[in-house]
Amino acid sequence: MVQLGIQLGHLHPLFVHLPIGIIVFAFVLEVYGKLKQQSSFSAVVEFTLLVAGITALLSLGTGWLLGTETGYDEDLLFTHRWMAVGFTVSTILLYIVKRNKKNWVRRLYVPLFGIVLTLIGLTGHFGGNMTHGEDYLFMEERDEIVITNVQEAKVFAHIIQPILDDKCMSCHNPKKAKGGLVMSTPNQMILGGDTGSLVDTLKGSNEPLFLQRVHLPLENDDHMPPKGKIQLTDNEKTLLHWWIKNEHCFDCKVKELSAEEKMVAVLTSLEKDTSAIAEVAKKATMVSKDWIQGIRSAGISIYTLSEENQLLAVSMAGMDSIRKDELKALEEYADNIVELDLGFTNFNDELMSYIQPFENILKLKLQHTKVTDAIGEDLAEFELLESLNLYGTRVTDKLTQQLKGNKKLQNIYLWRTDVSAEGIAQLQQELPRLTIQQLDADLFKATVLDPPTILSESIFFSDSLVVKMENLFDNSDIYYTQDGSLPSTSSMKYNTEVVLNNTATIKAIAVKKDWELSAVAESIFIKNNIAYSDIALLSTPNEKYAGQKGKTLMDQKRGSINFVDGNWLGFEGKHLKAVVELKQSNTISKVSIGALSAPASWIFYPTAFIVSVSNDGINFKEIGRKNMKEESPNAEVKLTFFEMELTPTNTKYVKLEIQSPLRNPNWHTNPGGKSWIFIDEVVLN
Amino acid sequence: MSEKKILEERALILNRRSFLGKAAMGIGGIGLASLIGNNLYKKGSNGLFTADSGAGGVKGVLDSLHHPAKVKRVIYLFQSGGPSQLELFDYKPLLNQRRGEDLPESIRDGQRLTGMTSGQDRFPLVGSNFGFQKHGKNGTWISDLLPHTAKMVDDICIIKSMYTEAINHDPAVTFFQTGSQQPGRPSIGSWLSYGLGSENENLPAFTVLLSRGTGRPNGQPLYTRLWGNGFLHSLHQGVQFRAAKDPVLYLNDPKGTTAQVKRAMLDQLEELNDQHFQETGDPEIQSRISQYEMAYRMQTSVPDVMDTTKEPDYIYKMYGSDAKIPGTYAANCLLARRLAEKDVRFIQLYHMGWDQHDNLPGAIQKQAKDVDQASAALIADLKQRGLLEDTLVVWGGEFGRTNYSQGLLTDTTYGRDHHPRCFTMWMAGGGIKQGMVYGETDEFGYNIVKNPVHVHDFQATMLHQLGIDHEKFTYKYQGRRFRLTDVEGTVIKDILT
Repeated sequence: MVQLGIQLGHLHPLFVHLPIGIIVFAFVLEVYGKLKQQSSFSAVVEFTLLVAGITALLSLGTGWLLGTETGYDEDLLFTHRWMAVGFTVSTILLYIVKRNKKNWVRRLYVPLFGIVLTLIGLTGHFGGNMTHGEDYLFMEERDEIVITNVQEAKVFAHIIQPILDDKCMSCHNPKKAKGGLVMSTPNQMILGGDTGSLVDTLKGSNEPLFLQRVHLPLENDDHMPPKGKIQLTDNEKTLLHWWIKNEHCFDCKVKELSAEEKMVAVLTSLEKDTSAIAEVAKKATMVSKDWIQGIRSAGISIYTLSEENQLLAVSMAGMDSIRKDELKALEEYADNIVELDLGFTNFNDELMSYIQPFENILKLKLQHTKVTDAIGEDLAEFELLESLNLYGTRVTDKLTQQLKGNKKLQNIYLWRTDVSAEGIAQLQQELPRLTIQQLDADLFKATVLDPPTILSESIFFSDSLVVKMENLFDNSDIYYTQDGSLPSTSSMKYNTEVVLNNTATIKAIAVKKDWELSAVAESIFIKNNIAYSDIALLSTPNEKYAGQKGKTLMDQKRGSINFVDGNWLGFEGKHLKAVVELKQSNTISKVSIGALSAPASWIFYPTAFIVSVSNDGINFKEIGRKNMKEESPNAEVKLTFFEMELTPTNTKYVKLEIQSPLRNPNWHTNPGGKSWIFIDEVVLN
Repeated sequence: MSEKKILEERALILNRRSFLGKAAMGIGGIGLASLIGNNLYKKGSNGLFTADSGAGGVKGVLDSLHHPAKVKRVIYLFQSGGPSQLELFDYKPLLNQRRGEDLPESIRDGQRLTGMTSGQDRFPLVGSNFGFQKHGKNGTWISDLLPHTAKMVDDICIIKSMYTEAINHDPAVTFFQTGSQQPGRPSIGSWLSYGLGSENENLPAFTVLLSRGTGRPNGQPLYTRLWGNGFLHSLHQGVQFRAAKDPVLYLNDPKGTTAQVKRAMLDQLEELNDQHFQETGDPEIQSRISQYEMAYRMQTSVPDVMDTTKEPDYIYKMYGSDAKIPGTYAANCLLARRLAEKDVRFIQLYHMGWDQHDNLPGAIQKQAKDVDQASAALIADLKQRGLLEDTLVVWGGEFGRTNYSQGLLTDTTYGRDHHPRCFTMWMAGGGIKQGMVYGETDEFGYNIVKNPVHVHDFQATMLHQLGIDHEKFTYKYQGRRFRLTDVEGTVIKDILT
């Protein structure tokens, strides 16, 4: 019986609307009949009321049975049920009154009709509340959740809850609790309903109950939301699935859960661009291409932000003769203009009023223009303004004080303006979200000067040599020493060129106010007053590095670290032996030899120097020998002069033997390989 | 059909086409006249007095952008030679602990080696000889070699997980610049000139500035095809600004030539060229006409932009005193800012000398000193002028360097070979997350363990920031549609705001 009762009860939705419609129809007929004085209507009304009564009874009966089912709000059910009883009784009474011809009874007819109509309205309303939820008619304005950055969104509160609110809550709320399930709070969801917890996987299923119900075919009675209700979209199903599979975390943020690429796409689709630019873009009209071409032909750069986005970025940057009519021409699409660059132009206070119609400007660039504080009031009108560039203008604190109304302002550039530090601090206080773009003054405080350049015609000289020094900057000084000591600001100050009479090492530094002292520039100048007639090589240099043979060593040209420059003689796996023939016999007391070391290229400094002298060029007598230490491990390319003091000896011929290590040292990457020596100059004194 | 007839017929077709085409392209004779001051103004439909036709710089082929752009221009600080990530950004203390031990084979995992170390019997690990400190709000590790970059760390996004396919300089640089290891494709700047055109009618959209590093002054040279236009119009090739009396070669007039003479010559030449174009239909002729005109305008605009004498002292203090020496990296950074201010679309710097196979500690100190302050100053300078918000600044080389020593390893010296599997770059500017470190390498600094970024991904991201969808931006040549990113590349969304 109960079983049958439930079945009949399900017919309630079928019958329930009939008495409502019919009673209203009866009322309309009654009123119309009275107005048109059609007495024949009366019989029709009478019949209509009868039908209304019968359908009311049917509705009441089926409704009573349906009400025995669980899952309805008891209070609501009670009210609805007894109002329905009242309505049904009143309707039948109304029919009886209509049939009665007695005068005092007829007087009851109109008030009773009123009661019937009131009752049907109330009964219907409460019935509706039961099926659709109490907030169905008078829906409370819920705070719409807007996700701008989905990664930061809370998975349950911001993504899942709104879906449940939309698609499940009308049945599974505390008042209705269909199937014993309430989904208002996390706990209630875990608790579940009559069938079990939503997050548990039941026997015979391979997924949690929640997902199982969602994934059942629509025709299945257990499919949720039930057939006839608004269904979940594919994206919503994917989101629910993802959330449950991630252990239905109630407090996680999106970024804390793993999401595959597909999932990321679904999640990202939840994002709503609430930026001012997106809001303005929604309202933007299509811009005519011809119009754009026209503006461009006036030398103005203008383009739409994209194919779809018809907002305009306009740049007149660098134009030195912006005219009113040019700005006026832009007014046709004033609302589309979001970026306006007037930097480095003649733009001024007077022209300011012509950009006033561009109310949607988000980015305004006025750097290096002639604007003054007078534009403050006009600037305040740009309510959407996000970025303002005033760098290099003569604006002051007066202007920044007027900007406090520009609440949307995010970036402002005030470098090289007359705005004071206090003005900046005050502005920052007024608009805490604003970034005032300025550099920390100390950021590049300790910048080191480059050393001075020491210039001369050659580094070799026979009598005297003029040396000049130069600095990169004006308003900077040079201090120098000639004796090899480190220069400081108490050393000699360079004013005019220096004349050298002897071999010297010049060391110099550059000094400039507010800059760090430079590193030391160093240059060696070698006096060479003994003239040679020839240098004959007794050992042959490698043909690739043979320069001008012996002449290379007396050409007074230094080689560079680029050892293919032709100023070097290179010897592979052998020593250098050479005889220097002096123009005339002379006393020698010192020999200087220029050499190169570049271990990575198998080039090393010599290991020993042997000097012999002869007056006939045949019989030589050794007068000096110097051994060098083996180079310590290194890989730098470097060059130097080796100097050797000799017992002063008068001679015509000098024989030099410059010994090579012959083999790469053990620390080298190719130990034992044939090594090289490179010599560029031999100087006798 | 005889050859003569073919030519005649084509001339007829071209006549009609060039008549229509010229009006659209705005590089016809009448347009040029506007440049010498005798403009024939007429009232335009919008009520403005406008020049007769839109003369000006190179026009971009993209009618409108694929999506709103974050930046308008790019400054690409290319560090040529392959800077060592291990001495500069990617802090790997394990390499110091295990100095001298062999690189485990499981880590090397069959990596192809260059001919320079493939003969080595051992691959001894070597850590940085230079210390690292944490800097900025996020405590980012930066080498002591880069004290100034360290100060700007909150403004840049460091990508530690770059990787490439090439192991030698030429293919690797070509790959970065053109998206292909084989020469022949257009370089990034040319693509942008072709797609977006020039914002400044007096300067080319794509400029190139070179400097030699002090770390390895005689390192590999660069070759002009790196800023070549490939199969695009030669109009789009990069224009090199030199540090010499003539910043752009062959720009200045011979002695004794007046502006009028020059103008008359160009006009005559243009007529002849136009005639030739109608006969042969070679589009390169049109390209040449507009290049002559661009060169004419550059005669005044280039000296203007290259003249840094009016830059105040505090600017030199920012960039360092090297900025006073033409041709240095610092001077080029200063010029880059000046060009950015003039809305040049793509400013390409190359700093050579990072190829430190031997004596790396000595060389990298000098090299880092070359670039550190000026790079940091460029960011700071762009920022205070409000230029950084619509400029993308990129710093990086063509590959990284190995975690093992090439050649001599002592307490004070070692070398590093080329390493394609991981290296570091940084980006800064509009739409790039600030103070971020993206990607991660293993503790040996040999392989990427998180968020790898391929060269094509980097290129796709660069185009994305300029409002271009790298998959839609193509050029059909020899029957195939070519892209900068070839058939790959994904925008690195994670580093974008």
